[in-house]
Amino acid sequence: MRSNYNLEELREIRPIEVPSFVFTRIEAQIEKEESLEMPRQWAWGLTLACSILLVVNISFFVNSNENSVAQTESTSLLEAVGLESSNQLYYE
Amino acid sequence: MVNDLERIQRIAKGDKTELELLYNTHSSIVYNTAMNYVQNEQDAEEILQDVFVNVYKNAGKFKGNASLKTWIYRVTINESINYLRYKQRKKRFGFHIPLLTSRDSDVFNISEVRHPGILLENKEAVEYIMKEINKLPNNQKTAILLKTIDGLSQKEIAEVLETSVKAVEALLSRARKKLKIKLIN
Repeated sequence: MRSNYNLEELREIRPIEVPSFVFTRIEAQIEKEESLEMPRQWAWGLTLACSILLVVNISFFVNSNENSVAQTESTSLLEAVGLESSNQLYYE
Repeated sequence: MVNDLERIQRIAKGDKTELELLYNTHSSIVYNTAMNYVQNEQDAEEILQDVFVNVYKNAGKFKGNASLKTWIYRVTINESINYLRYKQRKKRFGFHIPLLTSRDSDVFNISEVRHPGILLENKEAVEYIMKEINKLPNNQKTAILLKTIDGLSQKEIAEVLETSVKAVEALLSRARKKLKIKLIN
């Protein structure tokens, strides 16, 4: 076994021929990927639906918070004047 | 005669005839560069396929700042690195996989050199050198392979690696220094 090697020996590597029919496979892969892509109209529709859902959720959350704030204000006013805030007439 | 930028613009619009012409002129560079990088025919063939699919998909990103040849070299090197990372991850599946590693410092474990372009008379020497090159960090390995086998200039290597000529000089010098210790006993 040799003990000294020269980096220049890499220049001896011969270029190899490209295997045939690779381009056919490339075309097939491109076509496959294109057929899997979602049509643009679908993508826009899905985005719109998601945004509407998000807006509805946010408005629902904001409204429920406002209601609870109003409720606590009315409860504290009733308590201040010594009235009951519940509809319960009999304490069982 | 269609220039490189026009060709790429046509490919970006979905012209597969132009893609085939590009394939006919550049497939040999891509295949041989990938072959030098992964040292295995099957892997190089997969990389060749992926490179041209990516060129078709990302043709719009080519702005003509670098030459088409260096851009294709860059795509090939990136695909080869991605391929080796993917293979390594598959091997390590189930074990700890570092997520935040730099691509430049990666060292891939290529167990066997199976390069049909290596002549029989210097098979032992070239395989030994290749094994030592495989132990270098990615950016050093890329620089030394592009310089020694492909014969690219330092300016071209800088364009491929998207770095400065000075940085390429430093990479080559560090790589040669490391290899000198290993190759001369």
